[in-house]
Amino acid sequence: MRVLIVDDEEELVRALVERLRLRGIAAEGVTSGREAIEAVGREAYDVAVVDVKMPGLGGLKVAEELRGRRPQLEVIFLTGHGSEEDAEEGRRLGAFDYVMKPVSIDALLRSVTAAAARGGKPG
Amino acid sequence: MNAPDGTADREPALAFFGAASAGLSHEINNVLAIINELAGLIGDVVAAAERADVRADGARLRAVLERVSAQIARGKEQVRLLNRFAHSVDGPTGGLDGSEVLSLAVALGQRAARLRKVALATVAAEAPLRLPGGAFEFLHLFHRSLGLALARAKPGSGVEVRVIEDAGEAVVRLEVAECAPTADAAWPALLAEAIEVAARHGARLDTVLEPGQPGHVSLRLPAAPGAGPAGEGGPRGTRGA
Repeated sequence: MRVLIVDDEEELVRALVERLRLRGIAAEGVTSGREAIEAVGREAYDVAVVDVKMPGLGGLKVAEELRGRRPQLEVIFLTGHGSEEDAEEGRRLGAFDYVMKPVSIDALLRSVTAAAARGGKPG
Repeated sequence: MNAPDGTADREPALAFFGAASAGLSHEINNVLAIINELAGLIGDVVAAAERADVRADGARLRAVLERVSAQIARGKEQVRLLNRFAHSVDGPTGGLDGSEVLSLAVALGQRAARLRKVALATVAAEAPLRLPGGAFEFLHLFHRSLGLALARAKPGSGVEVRVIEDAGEAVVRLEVAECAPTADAAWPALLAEAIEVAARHGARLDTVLEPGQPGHVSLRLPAAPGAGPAGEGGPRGTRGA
């Protein structure tokens, strides 16, 4: 299972990547929507964990672009203060799940594993 | 009470207070999220060492603890900003030294600038800045002015804030290095609301924002009561507690 973490908070990306790798998941991270789009064009990720509020391209737009490039990619949104509008927009764009910050690593792991299984890549 | 378009019909100042507070809470939440992950990472490293029945990697743990310390310092700064912002509402009014309030205004504007991918910086003041009203009113006026500058600034460019004197008036000028080729659809409403807010406070907003060109948003403040050189007496802009 290959997971891409997308958040403009570099330290958060780094820590999540380290923690997922310690659990045997091939995780990588980027800090902008533009980098995420490039990464997904280059590598076959199964799941992208995308922050909703990012500079430049916001998370909802990034998710739409990622799924446009790789329809089998499952997207999980990361959000600080989830709003109903964001949740509705995320569902419309086919997001698999929403995870609130601060992240429970166990909850993220469950969500990532389930998302990969739906995409046909069990962890 | 709702406005005709269905949105809550509230005072623009109250809306600003909410937006600024929410922005600070978002920053603080990010800091907590990072500390949460780093604490979890320490736990992961220790647990892995216990499973392998070896000593935990001390150098790795120390490096993670340094990252925690950096986030705590960042969090303290955000809380300090929140405290100063909260006290802008209950502080004194009239004839305030504006330099301290301006630095708070720029600090509060950093998140909005970052989200637009625009660098926001202050240039050393060329003229004294005495505020005619309270710190909160100035923060609100600055927020509206910055909103205009950011709405038209090209992503990747910058906005510099300077205080100048023009015809005896203090002018806070937000200079946009390069304007974007097109304006947001929300631009006319944003401009109308900013002009209305400025007028309520006896201030004036001038904008020169042409696509592809450098531009500026100038906030002209009315004379402060007993205006004299900044820094000589007069109440302070914000307080901390």
